Amino acid sequence: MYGTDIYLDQTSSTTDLASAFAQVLGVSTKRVVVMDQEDYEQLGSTWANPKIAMVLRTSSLRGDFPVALEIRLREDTPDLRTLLSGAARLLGASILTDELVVNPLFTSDWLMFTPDGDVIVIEADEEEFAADEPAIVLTPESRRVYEARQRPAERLATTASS
Amino acid sequence: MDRSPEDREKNRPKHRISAPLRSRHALESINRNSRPNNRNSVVLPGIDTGRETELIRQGYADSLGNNRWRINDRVYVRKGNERGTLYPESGEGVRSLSRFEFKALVLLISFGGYTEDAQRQFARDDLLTDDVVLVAFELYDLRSKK
Repeated sequence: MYGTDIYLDQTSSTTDLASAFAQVLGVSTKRVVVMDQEDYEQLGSTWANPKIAMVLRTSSLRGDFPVALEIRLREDTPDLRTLLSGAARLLGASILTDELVVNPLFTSDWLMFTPDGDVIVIEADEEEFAADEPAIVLTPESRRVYEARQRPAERLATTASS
Repeated sequence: MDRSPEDREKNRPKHRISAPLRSRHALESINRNSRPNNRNSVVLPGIDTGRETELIRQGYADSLGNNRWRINDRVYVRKGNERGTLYPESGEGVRSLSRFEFKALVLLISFGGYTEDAQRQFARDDLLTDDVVLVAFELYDLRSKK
């Protein structure tokens, strides 16, 4: 059994989340369940069903990556790189993990999977993540990297709205 | 601390260093909203990482190479960013918690200890095994006694 936390830069519907992760795992959408992080009752009853391949527990935080997902899988050592890369592409979202960075001690470093298939180390403000109300806020340098990798349509939308 | 100026110079960091973030590493700073990292370096109450950073800066720690220094039986590692942030890596009073040990600790803090409600949540979560909860409980206990 495996669990970790990932962070997305945009929201998706429960259906889209389940569908994207199910597709990457190669299982039916019914076997991926999305629930609120606080819903322990549902966690217990859902995970007790051996047909469930994956549980996604959602919560939110401030900052550039406001969607938090705790992911749980039956297998002990999933291919996280393939999983996140595929989910980023299908959801059109950038996804952060701190599982695959070079030095796990450096808690400001994250690995970002973009919808276009890039995988980049970026840095977030550690103080913000450790704040009473945690946030993932990219450092100015990482923000430039992040913005440069947004899709052209999103860049246009951002420019138009600013 | 008795150390010759030559020894201090030899052990002094060659680049800027800054103290570990207290809100990230101090056990007493962890609260119900805290979010875990993959590894979570937690420093027990009573350890002054700011003071130890100053001692490292002045050359009173032992330079171990590879951006690491030992002071008061604790090892700190410097991140190669602009600020040169130090991270407590190991040693006396430094604990390295896994993601789920940290989550278990946050749950204990949220529930005010190993209460019936907390036990119910642990029972519903297969990743919060007895071993994981035990580590968290030991730290919760130390935090409560601060």
